[in-house]
Amino acid sequence: MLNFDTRKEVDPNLLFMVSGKILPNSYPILIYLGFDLIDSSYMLYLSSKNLYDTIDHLLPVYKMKYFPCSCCACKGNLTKLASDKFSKEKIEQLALHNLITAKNQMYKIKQFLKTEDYRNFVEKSSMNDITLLSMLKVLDHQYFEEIRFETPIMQDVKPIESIGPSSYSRPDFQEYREEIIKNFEPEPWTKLIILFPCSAKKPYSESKSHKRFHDIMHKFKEFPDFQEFIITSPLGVIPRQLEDIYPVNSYDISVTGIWDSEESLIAQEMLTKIISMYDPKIPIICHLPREAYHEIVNNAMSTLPHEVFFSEVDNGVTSNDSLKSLENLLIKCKDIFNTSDSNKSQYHKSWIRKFVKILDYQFGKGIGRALFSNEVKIYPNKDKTHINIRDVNSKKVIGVFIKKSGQLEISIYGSNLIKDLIKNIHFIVFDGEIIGGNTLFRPGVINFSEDLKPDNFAFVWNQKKEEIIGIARMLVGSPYIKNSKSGPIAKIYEKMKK
Amino acid sequence: MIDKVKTLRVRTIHRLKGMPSEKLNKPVAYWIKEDRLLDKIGKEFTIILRTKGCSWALGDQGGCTMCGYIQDSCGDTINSSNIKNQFMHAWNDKLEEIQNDTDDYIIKIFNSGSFFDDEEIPEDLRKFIYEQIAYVSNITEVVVESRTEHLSRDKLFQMRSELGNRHVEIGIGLETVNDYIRLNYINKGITFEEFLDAVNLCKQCDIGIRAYLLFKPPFISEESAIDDCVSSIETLIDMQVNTISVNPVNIQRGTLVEYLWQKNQYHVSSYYSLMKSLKKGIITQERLKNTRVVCDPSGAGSRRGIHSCSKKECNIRMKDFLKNFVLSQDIVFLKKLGEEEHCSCKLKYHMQKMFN
Repeated sequence: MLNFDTRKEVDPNLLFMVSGKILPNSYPILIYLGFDLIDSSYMLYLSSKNLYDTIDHLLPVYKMKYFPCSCCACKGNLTKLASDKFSKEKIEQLALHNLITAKNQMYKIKQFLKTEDYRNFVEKSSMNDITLLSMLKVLDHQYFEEIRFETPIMQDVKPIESIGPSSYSRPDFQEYREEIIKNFEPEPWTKLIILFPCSAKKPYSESKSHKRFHDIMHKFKEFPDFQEFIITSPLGVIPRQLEDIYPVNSYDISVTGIWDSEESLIAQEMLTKIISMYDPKIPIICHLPREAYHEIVNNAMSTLPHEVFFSEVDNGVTSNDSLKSLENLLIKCKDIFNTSDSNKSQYHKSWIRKFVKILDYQFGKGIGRALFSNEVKIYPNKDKTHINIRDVNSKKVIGVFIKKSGQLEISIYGSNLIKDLIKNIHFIVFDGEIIGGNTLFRPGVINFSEDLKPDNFAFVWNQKKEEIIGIARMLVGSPYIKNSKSGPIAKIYEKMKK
Repeated sequence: MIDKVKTLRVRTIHRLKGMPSEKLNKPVAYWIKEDRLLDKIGKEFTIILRTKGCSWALGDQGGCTMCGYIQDSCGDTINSSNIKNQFMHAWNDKLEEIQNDTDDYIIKIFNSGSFFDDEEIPEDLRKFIYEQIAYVSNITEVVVESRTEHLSRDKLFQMRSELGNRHVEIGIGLETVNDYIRLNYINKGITFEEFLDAVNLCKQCDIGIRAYLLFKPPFISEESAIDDCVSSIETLIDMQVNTISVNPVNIQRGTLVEYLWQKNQYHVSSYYSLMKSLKKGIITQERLKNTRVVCDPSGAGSRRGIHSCSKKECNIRMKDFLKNFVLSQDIVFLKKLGEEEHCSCKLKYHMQKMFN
């Protein structure tokens, strides 16, 4: 953890080395903490003490009966020499095996860093040693403010498996929860709130169960006035509009219907915070499985004035009886609350409704509505992997929604429309008027905002900060830019032409 | 740490109270054996006296982390005449042997504390001892030990004048030239500056210095111990100290080192490290011109003392190399060891030295 305090001050391009009594099972977390070099000389010490490393356990070599390794030492003489008390060769062979084990672990790390959900690997490998588990816990809870600027806000690897309590507070999940509370704004025309359970298939609306819920809701012409929330572990509460963003679109968890107290608490606290943003007269319908879910809702609502209606759930939430009960409740509740604000213009279209909230999530409250203040039209590509958003008047692209990443790439044209609003968020001031290449390096940056995280979109302004000349995706976070003097900072995906 | 040292010390001191009176009139030990004199091989006559105990160990700070010599003392029950009896007991026993010997002798009078501490050895007793020694002509060298704070010009001049032209050395436990290690890991309570003052004082009185170095204090690894010892030897040779005595830590009862050792947090140093430090510290034969480097590890070869491996023959071989070097002051013996074929424990040693 000392590493973080030191790193705050020094150039991140420096190599950090860690030395001491380090076992290969702690290599993943050390790399996760940002060390570049690991001293493996402890393996020699262990070998001289006759210990055989299997990564999971350290075993005295004379107890070994089955050698779970096919390295040259284990395939060679080590098996025969294992019981020798004073054998120089045995120690040499053992040292060879132990060093190979350490090297293999390092190869694994290098590979997983590129192609797997590395955080998940760190969690799994920490399970062997409780001190590592505590380290991870302390890191998540006490160093979140530091680590959030080192953790990419999205990743392509799917699914992101949540394997237990160690995953509940992983930085990207915490980031999601904090950003929702900070940036989510109720739609002013909301008449009714509906709570649904999560589904295994992501995004939720493509799952069988949620399709059936939609069938019921679409029977009502007021359905854009219904605000849906999905309750899930370990993310907490997800507004329907944000079901496509990371990590909502890619997390996975073992579902048993049994919630532990930490998961319940996370969902409960978040639900309280979100519902309290709404008018107290808005009724809430819960279409949730019994027991755990109902308890969460009851606990969350105990301090809030909203009226809660539970549907009759029999034989699962998708049974005909349950759905019928939901429909009856909708009929009963849809007119309890009437909002004065009914000017929803184009926002009731479900994609645009989503985009507004995604933009808010990405850049802050109000950005979505500002960008869509003119009439826009959406043009999905053939496979619906990209959705282009065009201004109807000028016919220019405002932004592109990329389904895989769940992010909305705003275009230069679009960002210049809301220039005044985004002057102080996610900005980089470029030392020049025209960007040359595709990568932005540290020397080209003369000013930047403090809120940049890896994979965030950043607006690149010209030298005098008068207009936006490019849009970039960050490779590093703000603290990195602050401390470094060289190195790549961001990838430019759109720039002003000469 | 000091709290722990003190608790351990109090326990030991408490145990000392019931010392039988016949023990008070006999020294802890005395012996004659081969040793290196200034320019030749001679013999040593060592007497270890039982006194009140080291002022530092009895004081508020609890004493040094590796020193358990307080066990040999006997608290307040002892008086001046007891100590005199102890000295005479050893003296009378060996005097004839010494006088009849053709070899020259070095006499070492140790009291597991400070020879110049008036609380331990009163002035008249010191004078009596000088007179006894002055009487024997083939005792050519005299060594006593003291902490720096007990040295004074008067005491040294007195000693100088009583002992004629014999070579006199005061042993001072410097342990290391590194103040941080000495103050924090050894809890010695002496700074390097104080040592330098003592050296100057001794020089003015024409008295030599025998600096004791501690090899592998607690809390540092074998590898760091080598570095520390090498830098100490280098500095002391540059200072032209008369004798450097390297003492590897042995596990003494009732000390912090013993406590750590039992918890597997302290490992006894290895012969290989000691040899390497001597070799690296001295470098050339030239540098031994004005300084002699001696080393007589206590408890060598045992579990609690310096050793190389559990095999007896390996330890004996190492001990011989060391003895040959000390007696001859010829670094060829140190170099030879590296060239000879070695026991399998050397591989283990190399693998462990960073962490032991």
